[in-house]
Amino acid sequence: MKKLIYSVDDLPGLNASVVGGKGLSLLQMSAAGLPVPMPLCISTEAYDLFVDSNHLREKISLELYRKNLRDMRWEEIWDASLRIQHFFTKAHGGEVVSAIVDALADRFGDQPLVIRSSAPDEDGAGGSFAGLHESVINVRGPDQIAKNIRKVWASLWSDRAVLYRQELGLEVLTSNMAVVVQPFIEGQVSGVLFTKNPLDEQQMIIEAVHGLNQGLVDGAVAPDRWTINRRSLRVENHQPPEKRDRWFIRSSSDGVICDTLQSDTGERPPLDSTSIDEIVRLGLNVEKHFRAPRDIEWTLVNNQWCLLQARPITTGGDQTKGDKRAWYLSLTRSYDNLRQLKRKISKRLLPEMDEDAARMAAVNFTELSDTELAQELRRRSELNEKWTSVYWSDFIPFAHGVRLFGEVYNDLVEPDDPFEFVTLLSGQKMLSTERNEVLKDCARLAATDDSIMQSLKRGELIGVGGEEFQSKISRLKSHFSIDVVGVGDPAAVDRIISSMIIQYGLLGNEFRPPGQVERQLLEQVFLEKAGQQSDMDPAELLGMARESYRIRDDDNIHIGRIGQELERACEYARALLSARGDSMQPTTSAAILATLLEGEIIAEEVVTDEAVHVGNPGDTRVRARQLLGQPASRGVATGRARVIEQITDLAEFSKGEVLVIDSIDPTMTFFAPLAAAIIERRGGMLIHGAIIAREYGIPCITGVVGATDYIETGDRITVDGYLGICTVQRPDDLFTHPVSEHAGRDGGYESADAIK
Amino acid sequence: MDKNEQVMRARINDLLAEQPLAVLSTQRNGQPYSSLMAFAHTDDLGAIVVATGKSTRKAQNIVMDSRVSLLIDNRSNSEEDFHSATALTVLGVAKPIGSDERPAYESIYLKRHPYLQKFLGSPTTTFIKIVVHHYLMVSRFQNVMEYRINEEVDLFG
Repeated sequence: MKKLIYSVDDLPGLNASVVGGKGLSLLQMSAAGLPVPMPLCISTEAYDLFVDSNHLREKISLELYRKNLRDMRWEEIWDASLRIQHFFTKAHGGEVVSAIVDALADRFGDQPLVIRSSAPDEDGAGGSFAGLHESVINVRGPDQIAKNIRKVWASLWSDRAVLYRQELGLEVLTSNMAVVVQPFIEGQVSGVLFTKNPLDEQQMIIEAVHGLNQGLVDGAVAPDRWTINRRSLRVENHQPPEKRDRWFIRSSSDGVICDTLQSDTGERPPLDSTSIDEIVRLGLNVEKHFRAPRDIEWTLVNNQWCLLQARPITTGGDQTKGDKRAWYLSLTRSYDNLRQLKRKISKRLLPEMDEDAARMAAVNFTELSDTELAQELRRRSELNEKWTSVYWSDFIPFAHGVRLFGEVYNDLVEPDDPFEFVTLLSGQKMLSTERNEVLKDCARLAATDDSIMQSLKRGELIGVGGEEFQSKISRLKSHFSIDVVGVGDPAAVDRIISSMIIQYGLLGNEFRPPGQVERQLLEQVFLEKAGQQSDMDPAELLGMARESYRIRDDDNIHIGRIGQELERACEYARALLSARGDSMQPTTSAAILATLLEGEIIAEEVVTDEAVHVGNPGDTRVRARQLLGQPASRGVATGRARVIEQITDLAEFSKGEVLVIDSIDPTMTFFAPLAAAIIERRGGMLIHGAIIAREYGIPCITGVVGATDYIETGDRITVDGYLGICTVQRPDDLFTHPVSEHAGRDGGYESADAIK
Repeated sequence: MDKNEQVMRARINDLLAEQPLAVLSTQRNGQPYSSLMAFAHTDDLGAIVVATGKSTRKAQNIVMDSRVSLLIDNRSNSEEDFHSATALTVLGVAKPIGSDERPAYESIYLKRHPYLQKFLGSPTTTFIKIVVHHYLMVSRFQNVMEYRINEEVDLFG
């Protein structure tokens, strides 16, 4: 049997390919007599045994090679990573894990432990991507130890690691992970020491906090910072944080918690001059040992120094400009940060945004002079830009809270389906489902008034029906931002809404969305498990996740109101200028309109057709038979495809068709209840099309590369929402036509004798 | 020829060029029958040639029903195949090779399988051209693309 665990006794001769970079470094420090909590290393061979005995390599490959990595959005990478981590949770531990747990118990007894990742190339290329893999603090008991070893192994395939897969050389067949296990040391003060400042070689840097260093590492607690002159070893500068009011301490159960720091402790810096002197000298010893500068994590427990790890100093990676991956990584916010964001969004941003929209809606353009209208156009344009920027900086990161919840949920509940948490979050009242109820009301009114129905059939809404019908139409257009879909062509919006109302009249009660009972049951299980294990308030966490899930859909409708008000002003200005003889395009921008209104003459706009369709014409010889995507909402359905190339195509959409679309905006999801199934090119389990499909219990596949290119309106499509496969059947399919009696039967052979 | 078609042709050609063997399926009275065959293909992907003994079951089957299917794949017979292997199903019609075209087909066949010269030259061997009308390529476990290469032989069109 392969050797599963290595200790200091196995040095020398060990290398990082067996115990990982971090493991090797800690074993060497321990052997050199440096104050390190005794490390044991679970070998990369143990990972290989676990992975191979559970056939995980091919399972991981099937997830990662589902499509070309460059066609995968970060959301899909997160989804794939969640499924991969789930494989590790659900795999049989077998003899490997129990042998490891027994060996650890022999060595450490029932002490709480720290379990850290130790990838073989961590100190190489991976060094610039710190925080890719998992480390778990304060783990107790054989079950928790076994669970967290798997968790650390699984983190080899974290979304972050997969995102930088190419740079890391991460390969399913060959990559593996060692794990370092040490006793958990609960220091009163902790920090990091750079024995050489990466920005100034003459300096050392110390950062320190009260309590454990988790807060310092993930940025939740601001540290005191000292700059030391490397030659004189004297402090050159001390920069205290704004406040010392929080610290991380050991939780009474597992893990660590962030708590309020008592004011008397918070008044004094974590280190005094004597201790600074001691850690500097210790750091130099470490540097001497490795013969290179180091980035050292340390803690101070009862006046005894303890070194937690020592890495080579890196400068933080060489991410090129325009690389969106760094932005994606910044989406992973702490629980505290998400709480603050929630307050900011619900208490300030959304009300402010709606106020802006309402103010704009109240403006009567006919009362404005040309100059005032030009100013109004510019103001609206600026507001639109401002709120779009807020959308990226605050709303999207908050929506990411759903993912934090998913990770916590899977960790606690260990469900069979890694996306079970989505069911727990769905079924809420959202603006999109509320809007669809208004459409149903309109359909009911039309059913009892033939004059409304006749107008709807002509695609007309103006002046139709009574006050009640008109107020609902106006609500649909403004409050729910449906108007936004008709940019540049107001009549098209009326045609789409008319068509939708007629179609909604055909709807029965055919939906079978996940029931309230199922959700309540899941909630009960989650709260029970969370109550036993987690230090977060589980009800608060669930509440935040639900809010995050809802805002993810609602925010587009809110921001849609702003865009719609900008467009309303543009439309008015276009009509005004057009009546005066200026040549106008439906897309002439607010800036150009404002300039024209101020009397400037500008060169005629060059109109380019941006909607270049890369698809193949109808007579192509290459066709898709089966296309793969992510199963985003369960169920199976077969129907006629309706491919939406442009928004106006929606007017043609009929109940029972399979909707095939590039991507769905929440302002457009009103057709979802009519669809037999949804296929979307954009990928992800938590994108709008997937969310609305689950709300209505409709099968949905997302991330289908080439969906709108390879599928044509009229194709018969079977959507398998369990496996993420859509099967395309054409009227002239190979096997759908009866075989002619003669075709091919003789094949040119006149008789059997011919070849004898 | 659009870009999709160019890409598809290149992928088909690569697979055909790297694999020496194909599984040939024929049928008799509704009973499918599969055989492992050495093959070669034409550059235009329009035809695949195979050779077999005149008295074999597959040869007899073809005489009675010339519609055939071939399977060519690059599996390595390991777990990896599920995500990495590509399989190509070929649908077509078997036709006898006329004497005027025989030298050209012999040349491509023997270039791929020089050790089969004696076999091919035997009077008991029949040399068969399969005129392809469809290729179906399966990759990434479940991704299936169809390529209709030959309209003239579109049996069911």
